[in-house]
Amino acid sequence: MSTPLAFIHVMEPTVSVVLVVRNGDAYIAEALRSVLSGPVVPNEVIVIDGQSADDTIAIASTFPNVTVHAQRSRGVAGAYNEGIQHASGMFIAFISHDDIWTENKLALQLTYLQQHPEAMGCVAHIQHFLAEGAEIPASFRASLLDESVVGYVPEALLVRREIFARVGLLDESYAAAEDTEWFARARDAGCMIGLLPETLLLKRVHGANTSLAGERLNKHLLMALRGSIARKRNTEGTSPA
Amino acid sequence: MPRLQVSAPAVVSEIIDGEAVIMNLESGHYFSTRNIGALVWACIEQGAAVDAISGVIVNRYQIEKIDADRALAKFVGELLQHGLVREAVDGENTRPATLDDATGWPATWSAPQVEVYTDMEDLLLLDPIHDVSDAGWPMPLPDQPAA
Repeated sequence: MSTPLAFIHVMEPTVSVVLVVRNGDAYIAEALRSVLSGPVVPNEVIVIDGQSADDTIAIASTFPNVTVHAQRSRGVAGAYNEGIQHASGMFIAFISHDDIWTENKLALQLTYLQQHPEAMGCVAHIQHFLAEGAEIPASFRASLLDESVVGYVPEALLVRREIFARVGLLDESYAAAEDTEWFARARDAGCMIGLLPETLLLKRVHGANTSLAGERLNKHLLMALRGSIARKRNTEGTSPA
Repeated sequence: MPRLQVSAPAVVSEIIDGEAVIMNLESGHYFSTRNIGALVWACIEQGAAVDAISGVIVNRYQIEKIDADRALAKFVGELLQHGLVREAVDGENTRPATLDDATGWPATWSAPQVEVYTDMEDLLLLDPIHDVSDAGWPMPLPDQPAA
């Protein structure tokens, strides 16, 4: 008998899903059902709760494979980072309490990453929809309710966990645009994030309209872009002639 | 050269440490202009006419007016090309700019430059999920926990 070579053990992919929430009892059950009812079931769902005063925790606790952690940090970025740090899966995905994954999201995205070893992650298209009973917010682009768009948002993202060692966690100094800032850093670090043509996330639109949020977001987007510009200049400065 | 106006609300900008970072939310392109360019951008934001800016530059840096005009025309041409500014209509942007009081002019003259970045289109084009309107750039509250 020949000496057995090291056999190739194809490991079952393990998936962690991070859900950050505060006071989400209206929609969180729907979000969790969408995560847990597809053909591929994640190994764990990590809920980072920002001191919810409603039934969020009670509802989340009724679902299997869900652990709830009280957020220790402040802000959305901090919550994401706590979730990432708790995650033990080979792949990490995200969802908001009020969004819905399509049934095939995880299966399609896992398949993509298995077929594209050069990709560190992938996003997909997203479809906005109006919350039941809600009115279209003023100046909201109504066409977004009809057609899906490219979704570079955490809720549409599936990554290999190693991406965070390469890119870093989210920047907690960003009170807004923390996800765009991270995607920019991932791009500047040379991480390929694929884009699936399918619509894999349904994004609920609800809540009051405020112009302050717009200004705040733009300010933070500009800070993120400034950071990216500085990184590009540094890279140019050190590259060989 | 007619008076100019920043192409709001699609164009937003911040000036930080002598660098103007500008975003065109319609194209998803973003831009940087530093030093003299950042000051010229600030002057345009405040409603200064290009000819007035040229006058300040000539006084400050002792260069020929024709050189200042040429450098500014090239710079403004690029701002127009990228949709960052447009011609102001009558009555728009008529706040008088006190250019000579503007601090932060660099010690030495160099022609203002615009750096153009197009690598984040798909990241930025998602964000302006609203119709461009004169009312400004309202946003729904993010559906995530507040910071």
